[in-house]
Amino acid sequence: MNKKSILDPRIAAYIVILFGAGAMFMNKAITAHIFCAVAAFYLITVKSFKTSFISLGIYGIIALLMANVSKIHNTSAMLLLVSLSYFVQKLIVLFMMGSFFTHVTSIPYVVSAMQKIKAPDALAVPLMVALRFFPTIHEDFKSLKDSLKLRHISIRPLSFIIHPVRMMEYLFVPILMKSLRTSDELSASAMLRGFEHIKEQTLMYPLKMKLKDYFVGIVSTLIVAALFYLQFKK
Amino acid sequence: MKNIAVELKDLSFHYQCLTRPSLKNLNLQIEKGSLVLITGASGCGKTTLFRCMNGLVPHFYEGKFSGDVRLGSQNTSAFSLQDFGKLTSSVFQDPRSQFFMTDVENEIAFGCVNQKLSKEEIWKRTDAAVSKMRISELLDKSIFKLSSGELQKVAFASCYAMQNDIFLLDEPSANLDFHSILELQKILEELKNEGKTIIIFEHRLFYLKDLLDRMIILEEGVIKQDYDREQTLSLNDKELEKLGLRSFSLEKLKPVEPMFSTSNNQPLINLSDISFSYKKHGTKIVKNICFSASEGEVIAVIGKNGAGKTTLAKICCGLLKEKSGKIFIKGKTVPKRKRPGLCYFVMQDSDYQLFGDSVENELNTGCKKNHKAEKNQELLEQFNLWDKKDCHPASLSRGQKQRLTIACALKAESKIIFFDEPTSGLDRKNMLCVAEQIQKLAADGKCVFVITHDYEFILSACKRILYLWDGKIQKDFSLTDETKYQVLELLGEGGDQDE
Repeated sequence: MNKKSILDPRIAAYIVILFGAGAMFMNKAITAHIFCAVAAFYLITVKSFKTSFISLGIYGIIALLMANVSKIHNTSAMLLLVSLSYFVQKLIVLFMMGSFFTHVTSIPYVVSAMQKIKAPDALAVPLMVALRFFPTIHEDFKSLKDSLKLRHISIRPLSFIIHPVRMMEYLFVPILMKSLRTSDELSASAMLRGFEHIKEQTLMYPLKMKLKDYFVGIVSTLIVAALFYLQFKK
Repeated sequence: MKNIAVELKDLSFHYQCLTRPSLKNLNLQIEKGSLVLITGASGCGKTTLFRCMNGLVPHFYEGKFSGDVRLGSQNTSAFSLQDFGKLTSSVFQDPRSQFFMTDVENEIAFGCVNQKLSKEEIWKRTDAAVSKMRISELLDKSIFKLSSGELQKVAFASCYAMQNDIFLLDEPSANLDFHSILELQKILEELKNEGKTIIIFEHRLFYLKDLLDRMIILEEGVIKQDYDREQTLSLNDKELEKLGLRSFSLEKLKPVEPMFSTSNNQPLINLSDISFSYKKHGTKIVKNICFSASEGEVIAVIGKNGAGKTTLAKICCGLLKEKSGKIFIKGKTVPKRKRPGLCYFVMQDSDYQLFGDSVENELNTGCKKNHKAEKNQELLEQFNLWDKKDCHPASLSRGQKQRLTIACALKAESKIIFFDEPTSGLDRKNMLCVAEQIQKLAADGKCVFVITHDYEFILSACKRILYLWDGKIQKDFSLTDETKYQVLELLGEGGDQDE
């Protein structure tokens, strides 16, 4: 199932870092919107329609709020809304690119890529754990959603805006607690099976860059370069 | 000395965070090729002993460690965790959190990849493990799409590929359905026939009856009893109960009379022609289900994985919307959005159900503003949690978390409560505690449904059986001394159904 790699993991990682870092610099509304639209388009190309549309929807609501923020007269409320929205907007692009990465490659290929570029363990191991965690968090979230419904607690996007701290507590604290337990068990099991240094593993999937990889890499670089130009031109 | 697989000398361990030592001066020798069962009540030190044998103690879990662990002829005092992994293979209680890869084939190969074997050797070993565990049909599946039984087989295959001679299993049946436990039994038999040393830390005993060579009972970190095969099998159920152990012979067990009388038999919930299918693949998961249940009933919902048990419970609780049919509660049609709260779902993993910053506030989570402090106290006292009212829910034990979840259901004034596998991984005493609590709920006028594969628990708490097969209620009967064999037969029917 996950043994394929649509893109070379090195190129996939390059695009994720490029977009993730790039999104942080986008202060103008137009460049931030294009950035999000491009990330959503990348997700659509790998048939991840649901994630793409949900992310776009959330981004759209936040963009709308930001556009009308001047109508709020309470300064503290305005400040809270702006900083929260800014944070969420950046996070959504990162989330979409993370999801894109898991769609275009798989853990065994990432391991091979790490071995090939001689990545230090301090980088390779957390990355592998993060990839393993993505689907787990999705499952955890589904169970939490059901539990909250039973307690008459709504988790619509509006609830996050009205009660941000409370919703963080209801959703993220249980997920963090569960993740702590899972990561402990996961590390114990991996270490018992000899996992310590990524360089001392067998290279299972030798990698070779294809024309497609070069093409996607160059196009992505050009898009980000163009957006930077738009952002910083006087 | 040559025939010793594991030897412990004066082994003691004290976790940093605990006030008492978990193991105290343990001495033990386990012969090569034997299957040894290590059992005892929850908290007796089983898991710590498991961790000492595979090196997780003291390398991963910190604390005060003393004594020697020898594997074969080697003293492990200078071993790293990786060295332990070259001699022992460990299968954990929850296979879900022991997988590192996301596909079956690479997961099985993972241990060999870390040993830097050649690619040819790795695939050869992987193929051998796959054919040994008969899981070739799972090779292309994602780890996240497998049932608990399938996951357990993959965990065994992964260990088998490493070609170690010592297998350590920590409660391997805790997350398995009855049929998967019988399959686990076959796997153990084959491993034993190959001469592997198997050490099982377990509460459920019935599936090990024909396989074990020795049974060791731990109590508060010391060996309380050490029985050989003959001595073990000569223990009757009364003696096992006295030792706090579950039964070896399920056939001999009898349904227990209810501890509380339930006089009010008013119909409470009525399902009329309920069907459900997921939008994604359109296949019906629940098909035209009709039944009614009354106040005071405790109903066991049994069936294979994927038969539609959890889906049915979620529909009743308003977490999923039925495609057709109606649900009546106390004679009135209740739409999906009004069902949460009227019906409550107690999940297997209570971690997902607790959100408050203290035990007392947990009861107020999601409630209307007018909290009644007296009501909270009454509920917490009823479930022996009043002294923990200021603790964070995450700091409670599993049993306490489960009791708190039930208290939340009562606070919401739910009349119908669904439990999902409430006794997995519980020893006899705790299993009977859950049975008692559930019977108390029934005596209090609640209607309780329990999704379970635990035959011993069914006999201890339930009076009616709903057997689901392929999304339909295939059988609906009262549990009596005559029908108990039918339950055993239905539980043992095999295979997973596709949802």
